[in-house]
Amino acid sequence: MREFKVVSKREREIINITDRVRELIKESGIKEGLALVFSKHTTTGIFINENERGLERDVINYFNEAVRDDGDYFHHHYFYKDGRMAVNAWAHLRSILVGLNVVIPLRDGELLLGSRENVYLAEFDGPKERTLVITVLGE
Amino acid sequence: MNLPVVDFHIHPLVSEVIDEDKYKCQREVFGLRTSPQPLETLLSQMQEASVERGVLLALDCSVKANCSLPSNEEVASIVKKYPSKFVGFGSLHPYREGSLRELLEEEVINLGLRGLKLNPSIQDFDPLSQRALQLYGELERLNLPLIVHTGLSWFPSTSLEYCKPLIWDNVARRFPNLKIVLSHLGWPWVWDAIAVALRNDNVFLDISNTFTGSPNEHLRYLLTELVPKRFVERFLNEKIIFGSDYPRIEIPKMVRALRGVGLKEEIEEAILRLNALKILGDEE
Repeated sequence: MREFKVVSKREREIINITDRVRELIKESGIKEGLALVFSKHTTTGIFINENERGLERDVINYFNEAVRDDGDYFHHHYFYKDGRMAVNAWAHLRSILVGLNVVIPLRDGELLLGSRENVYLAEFDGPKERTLVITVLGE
Repeated sequence: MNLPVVDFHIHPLVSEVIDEDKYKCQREVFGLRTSPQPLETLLSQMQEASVERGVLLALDCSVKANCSLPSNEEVASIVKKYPSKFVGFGSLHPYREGSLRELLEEEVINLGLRGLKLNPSIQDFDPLSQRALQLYGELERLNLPLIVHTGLSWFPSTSLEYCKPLIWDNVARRFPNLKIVLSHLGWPWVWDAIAVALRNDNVFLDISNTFTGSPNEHLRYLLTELVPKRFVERFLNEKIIFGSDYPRIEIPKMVRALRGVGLKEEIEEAILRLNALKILGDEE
């Protein structure tokens, strides 16, 4: 299991992390098995989809429309646990829609992805430094 | 077109300066319990929000807790690295031992810092004490602006009395050439803060952070309902300055919220940029 950092540059952003995941798989030395990519942040998401610039914009636009920024959210109040206002219900809700992990099969030490499949981090409340976890199981 | 913004209220509690001891202080004294982000993230937040310059605030908690969040030196070192992006404000607890004049020379002037940040509630000092008054006198002499916390402090261990905006009417009248910025528009004592600013040429108001909901909800409520929009535009157009209060709130959320209030374009520009430049003496 390894943790790795991804630093987002935009408030809402789709970041292709496939190459980084490939590097970490290689470093693990596991040839056959499964890789679990997981985000430790409830205002992000992990998903697999096509690497196409237009589609990346569509994903952001879709979530902006699916979950309104200006809804009447109970979450938007002072959060003693953090010592600050909670003001990002929309980001949490978008994260729930995407999910926080993906599992990818491995063969011959490579990700067994379809030709159009890439692994993405969805940033819904950036820019921020995010910590992701990769767990590789197999032999 | 969105003109560049000046953010007058940034706490540079970045991972480059917040070590384990400072993180403890950040949690226990400053009350903020989120992990520090790298400076790179602060710069990206500014970029995302079209903030061309940020005022970085130190906070001297040395008398209360033997720590600074961050120290004057740490603020100065960030400004030195990014001189076009940041202006640094130091902090000095008025009860520190020694000559205030000398401390200001050493820890503010000599480091190139251009103002002072005080939070009587968190720092735990009486803002009308002799020693504090002496400090304001030195700031006036040096022509250094002062930004002070006013409004709610959420932590029961801190004094609420020291957060009241009316305190600063007394200070503003004693030191008429000292520019004083009252933070957070004094919420919930908003009209008290406004009264102080209206009758003292040297008092200004920052609208940093949100207290009643999301930034959109809060700034719309503050600047169109609690205070009528016409009053903001006619009476406070040269008094209000923009601040975020990062990292207690993300900068893009606050800028977008201010732009969404629906103020006249020239008023929006004054709040987001011009009024801050005047206080800093950096008018174009």
